[in-house]
Amino acid sequence: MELMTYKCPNCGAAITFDSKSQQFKCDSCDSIFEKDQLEGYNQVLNQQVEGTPVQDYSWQENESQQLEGVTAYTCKFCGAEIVADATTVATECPYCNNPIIVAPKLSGGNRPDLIIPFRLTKDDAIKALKKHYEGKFLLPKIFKDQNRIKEIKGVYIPFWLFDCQAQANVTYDATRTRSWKRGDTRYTETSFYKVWRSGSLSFEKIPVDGSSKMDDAYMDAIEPFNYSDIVDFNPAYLSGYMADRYDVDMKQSTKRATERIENSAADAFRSSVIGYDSVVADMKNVGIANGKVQYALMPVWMLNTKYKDKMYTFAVNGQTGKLVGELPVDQGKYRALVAGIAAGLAALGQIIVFLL
Amino acid sequence: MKKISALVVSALLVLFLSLSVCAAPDYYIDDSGYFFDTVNDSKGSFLTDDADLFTPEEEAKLLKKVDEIRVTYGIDFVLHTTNSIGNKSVQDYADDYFDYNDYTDDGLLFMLNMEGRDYYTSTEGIAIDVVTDASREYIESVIIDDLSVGNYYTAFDRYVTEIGNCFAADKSGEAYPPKTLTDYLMQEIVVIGAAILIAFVVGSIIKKQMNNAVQKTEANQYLVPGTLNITGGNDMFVHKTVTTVKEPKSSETHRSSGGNTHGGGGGKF
Repeated sequence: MELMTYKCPNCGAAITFDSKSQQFKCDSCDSIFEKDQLEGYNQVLNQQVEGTPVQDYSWQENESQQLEGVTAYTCKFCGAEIVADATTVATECPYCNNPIIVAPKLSGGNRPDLIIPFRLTKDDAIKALKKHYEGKFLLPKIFKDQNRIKEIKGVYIPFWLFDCQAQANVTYDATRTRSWKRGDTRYTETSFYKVWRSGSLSFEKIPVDGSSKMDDAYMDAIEPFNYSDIVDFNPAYLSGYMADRYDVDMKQSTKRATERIENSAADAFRSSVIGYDSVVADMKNVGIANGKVQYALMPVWMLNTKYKDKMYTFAVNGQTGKLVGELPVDQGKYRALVAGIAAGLAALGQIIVFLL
Repeated sequence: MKKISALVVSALLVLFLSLSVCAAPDYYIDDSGYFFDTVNDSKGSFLTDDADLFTPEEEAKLLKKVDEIRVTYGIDFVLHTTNSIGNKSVQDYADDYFDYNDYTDDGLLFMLNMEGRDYYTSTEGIAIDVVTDASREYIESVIIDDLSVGNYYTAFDRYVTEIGNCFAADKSGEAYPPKTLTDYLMQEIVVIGAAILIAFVVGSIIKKQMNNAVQKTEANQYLVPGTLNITGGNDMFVHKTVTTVKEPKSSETHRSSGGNTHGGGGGKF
């Protein structure tokens, strides 16, 4: 008796070919498949993508020099490490507003490869912030009145920028549904499919935030930066601004880059999966070639405000003006809002029911 | 002698016959055009009291009500009582009574079988949709006590009134069976509950707008345009499932021996 082992597309158990019955049958879920189907599926499962698997890839950094001609500061309260050039007066920590001190032992950190200079002035940033406050009914009044807005600071945030070429195999679970009625009964038929696509795609300058002090969510939300403005680094750009000295190692950043690359491959290939009612990505197999990482500084206007023992951060993209931040919610106003809507809807509902 | 007795007998016969014709006619037509068959003691074909449960006055009152409904809604409404239905089931008896007695195709019959102590409603045509099983059961629940103790006129009178209400509600779009206090209470709970739920959802959405920092899980913006190249793939059918859901009509229907579709139901009193 011949035995060839394949994986069942339905339930993942091992399928064996029983030459007695001449069928490929799964013992776990009773599915029957054709040899061609099974071969195709298993080929995809075992297929090696070209390039190194994305999780194992070792990205090449440029040979980094040290950044010179800057003064290094540290904040005793929150541990932030900032550098600024001689012309910048750096007295307050941009992250927690406490005074920072010069840290002579601290070096300037890695010299950046690239930088996007500030486009927005401080006034532009203040205007954007004030506009954001408008119409926010749930914002506590005191928060708006506190005249902290002028304390907004211009900071360069460090980013790792990832370039690469990727090969990917992505498997999707897809369904198609049909429904019909005969007599008193409604029949719904759902057909399940396993779909896979393979191909290649290239990425350029995927940004991953290199500062642990800056919340990743904030930096992601502040994207995109317009790379047409990106230039080779020159210390002159720093004047008047502070720069966050990176503290997230490049290797740590690769995890985020990997996840984003995998998901993008799945999204990109999904456009070719057509004719189904639902499509969900299942397995993603991505390999990288020609990977390159660069260290860049991105401009951000930052304001941190303390309200009721919690720190609320605002970031304005110093190039595009996109605003990201969390505003405190006045609990009293929130409750009043919910109660008001509920009362209004209840009254409306009563009238509708009464008229029915 | 034979001849004389024959004459006398025939004369008497003629006299007798003519007397019966003149004195008590076997039928008469009343003011509203109803055909009353006195020989069989059935008053009009819309109320046949074979079990003799009603007095003539009660019959007349019931008929008047039945007639109003008949004329207003364009259906045939028949009341019937009997002492026995033979070997037939109540359903068959009722359906057949309605089918074989020349009533129109839209209507209903309500009957009592004293032998088996059955009550039964048979519906046909539009009456199937108007008198839903829920409505019928509601009416049965309000008359059952009177039927059980023998207040047949009260029960039938109430039945007819309720059928009138049922048809009127159907026409005006109101609910039948009528809503009780519990129904109104449930309604209130649903309205208030839904309002609170929606208010919370809306409140949460507005609250969410206060924070727009969201992590990105993809890098679609950094895809170099023109580099996407899909080189292969396959779509493989794996399995399928079929689910069935029964969606019943407003009342159960069955076919009678006459071939017509009937609705209705009954019980014991």
